Amino acid sequence: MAPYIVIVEDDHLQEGPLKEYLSDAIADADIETLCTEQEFRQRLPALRERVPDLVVLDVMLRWTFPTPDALPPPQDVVAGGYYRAGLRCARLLADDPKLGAVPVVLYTILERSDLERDGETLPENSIYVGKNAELDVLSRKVRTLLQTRTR
Amino acid sequence: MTSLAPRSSLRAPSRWWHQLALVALNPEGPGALGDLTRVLGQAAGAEAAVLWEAQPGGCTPALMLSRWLDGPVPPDSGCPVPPDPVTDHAFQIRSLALPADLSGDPATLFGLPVAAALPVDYVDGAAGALTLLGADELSAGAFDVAAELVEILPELRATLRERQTLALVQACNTILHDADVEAPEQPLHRERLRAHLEHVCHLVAQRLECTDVAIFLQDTPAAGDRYPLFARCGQPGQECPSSRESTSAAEGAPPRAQVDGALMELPLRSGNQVWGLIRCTRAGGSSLHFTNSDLPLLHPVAAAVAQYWRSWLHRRTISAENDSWRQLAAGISDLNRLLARELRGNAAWDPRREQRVCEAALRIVQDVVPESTWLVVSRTERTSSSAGRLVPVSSVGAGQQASPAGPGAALAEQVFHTRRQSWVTDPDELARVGAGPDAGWLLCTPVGVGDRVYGVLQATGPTGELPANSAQACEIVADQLGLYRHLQQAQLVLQTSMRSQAETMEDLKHQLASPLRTATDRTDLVLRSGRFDTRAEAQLKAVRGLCRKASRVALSAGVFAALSRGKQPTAKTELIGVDDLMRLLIAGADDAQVLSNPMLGILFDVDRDAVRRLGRRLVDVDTSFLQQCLGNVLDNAGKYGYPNTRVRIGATVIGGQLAIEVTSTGIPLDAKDAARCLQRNWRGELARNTTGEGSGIGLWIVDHLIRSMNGTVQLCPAADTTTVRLVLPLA
Repeated sequence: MAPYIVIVEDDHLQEGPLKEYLSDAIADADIETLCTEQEFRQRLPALRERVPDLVVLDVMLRWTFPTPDALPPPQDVVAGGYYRAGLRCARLLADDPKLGAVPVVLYTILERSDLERDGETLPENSIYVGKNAELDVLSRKVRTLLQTRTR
Repeated sequence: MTSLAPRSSLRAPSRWWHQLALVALNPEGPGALGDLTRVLGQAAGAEAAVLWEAQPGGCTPALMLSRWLDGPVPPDSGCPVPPDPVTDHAFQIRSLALPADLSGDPATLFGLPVAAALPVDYVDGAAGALTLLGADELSAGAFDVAAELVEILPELRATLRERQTLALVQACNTILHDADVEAPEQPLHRERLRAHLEHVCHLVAQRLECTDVAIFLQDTPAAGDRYPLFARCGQPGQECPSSRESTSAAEGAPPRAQVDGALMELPLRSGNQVWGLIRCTRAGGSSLHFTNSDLPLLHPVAAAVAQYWRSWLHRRTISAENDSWRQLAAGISDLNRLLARELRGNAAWDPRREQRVCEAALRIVQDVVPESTWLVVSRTERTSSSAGRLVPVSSVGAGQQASPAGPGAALAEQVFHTRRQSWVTDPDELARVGAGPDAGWLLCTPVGVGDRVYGVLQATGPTGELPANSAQACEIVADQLGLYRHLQQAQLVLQTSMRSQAETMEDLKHQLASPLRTATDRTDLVLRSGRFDTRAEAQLKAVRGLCRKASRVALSAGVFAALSRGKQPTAKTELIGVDDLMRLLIAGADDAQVLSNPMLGILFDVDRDAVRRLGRRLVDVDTSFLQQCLGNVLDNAGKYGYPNTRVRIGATVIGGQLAIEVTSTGIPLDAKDAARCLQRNWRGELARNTTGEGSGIGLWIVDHLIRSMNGTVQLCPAADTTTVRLVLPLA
């Protein structure tokens, strides 16, 4: 069965090549891309219906694109800010009864030590891959996670 | 009370009744016991009269209560005058006694022959006698009158005493009320209070016919049984017990009520506490005596004085505490101003500055705790062999020569390690910790913040107990010093870190900007020279745009680093014309377009006609700076712009200056926030909440770069459209 992968990346210049690369690396993969944290949250009910095999999450993630009728973000987003939005999304997945087992790749330009500053730990379901590494590293990790999940 | 109206069966003329009643019941104020004695003597036709009372259980009327002589009063011998035999006889037989009843020499008193004596039974159960004196023999009618009037004497005396008591209490209360009115907010000045209490003494002396009245009061129960003289009224030069500077109770017992002939005293008690005593003396030659019946007259006065004294001490304590806290607050404010000034400069450790700060802190403690005679601030100094030792930084007061390490170095060391304030008042313990020979107390307070201790504040003074507020005052001042040291160290770390960061960022900028610049130029060359399919061309343009953006970011990092160090950017200007400006604007717009998410459909458009209309005008700019500024402004337009809107880039001449205008439609900017957009790290709430990204330094950098080219940045919001204008002087 074709693996279902969700990419959450707000930079269109990175999202395009990333999707293209993973499509080449994972045969038949069904890849969906989301651009903002708001879009991710709105998509959660649908993800519960069709549970992804893997989620690739950027960490520094904008809440939404400006529109005249944009709603204000929820309090946890206002308090937590933009710099750790991806971690919030990963925790939403980890805490969700239906999505808690979905593996998450935190794909970010930040260092792992930045994410674990002030004693924070990464959500249990997630692994870290730096954006400064070659895309090969990401595809290998993704493939391994998908194989583990299939077993 | 017995009716004093004369009855028809009585033989005494009504004028004597009237005079007696007038003495006891005069509405203008009660008379004295001597007045009653006078009326009795006059009614009997005597030349003198004396009123006596026996001591409780006594068999003779030994106490002379009052006397009256019709004529000049002979000088008093100053010695107790015993009753004559006739009076003594009347007292024994409880009936009229005449000299003829006794054999022997005629009895005399004050040089006058005794004419007769009558027994008197006082209302309080005491027994006494009235002696009538005169050279001439008294008539039988006179005896009858005297005997009749003596019957009413006990009630009259009791009435008189009650009225005297009431009048005395009222007068005393009036004096104390006046004292209250004189200083309703603050406690009355001690000397003024002394004057009021001397007035009370005068009043008591007048009512009780004393020669001397003294009030002894102590300020604190800790003074033990010593009661210093506070107020007195007496005849100057008279030697009497109450003229001494202080008095103390016998054998450590508190003062008690006592009547001893010519002396009467009462403790000044309020609640369970005895604050002092009031002592009345009939000394200096008076032969009159106090009796127990005089005590009730003094009781309410003593109670009122004691109550007032306690209240005055309480108000004085509160006032002193308030003054002390006010002084401390003012001192801390001054100290904080000094600390702020000192912290404004270089954070590097400076011993002279530290000494200035510590001296200012010690002066505050000295002002607030005037009992402190020696104050020292010590700081920790690391040594190679130990964790640190205390070294005095600054001291105030005497004692430096006695012990250079400050008072109680051993206790200071202990406080430094336990990080808890501690004090000693026990003499042996003071000696053990090395507090100095004159120390009555020693207080050591850690100077620190949280678990960090930077030193110890040592304070000592000669008094036997720790002064009120001293622990709190020292704690507050030590906390301020600790906070200062903490801030100073944090500032030092921050300055070091910021300098290091700034240098690193400058270095990174050089390392980043150069290869990116090269990559941009090479991509540009490839794009100009080669032919590619649309997809490859788009990819290459994206690469070029990313390289330019990276160059801008690198340049921003460098400018940010320079500005953070207080260094303004320096423009390397050159004259450019319309063509160069057009190319610069188009390149900026192209990059912004490439970097903008195509899904949003934001169009970056250069108004070429408007630019061409500038004609042959030249502008003196640093092109690198201008590219940077335009890039930052277009970044914002793309970041905060609404989907499917147009970002218009144009140029115009306003007031003889070139204005490059970028107009976009997106998240509205409040007009009142326009100026704040140029502040470092400021971001509008809507912008911050909607997208989240950015740190608010883009326009701040633009502002500095434009100003380095003698230009200005203007923000003109209108509803959801914002125009950013980069105004530059034309050549």
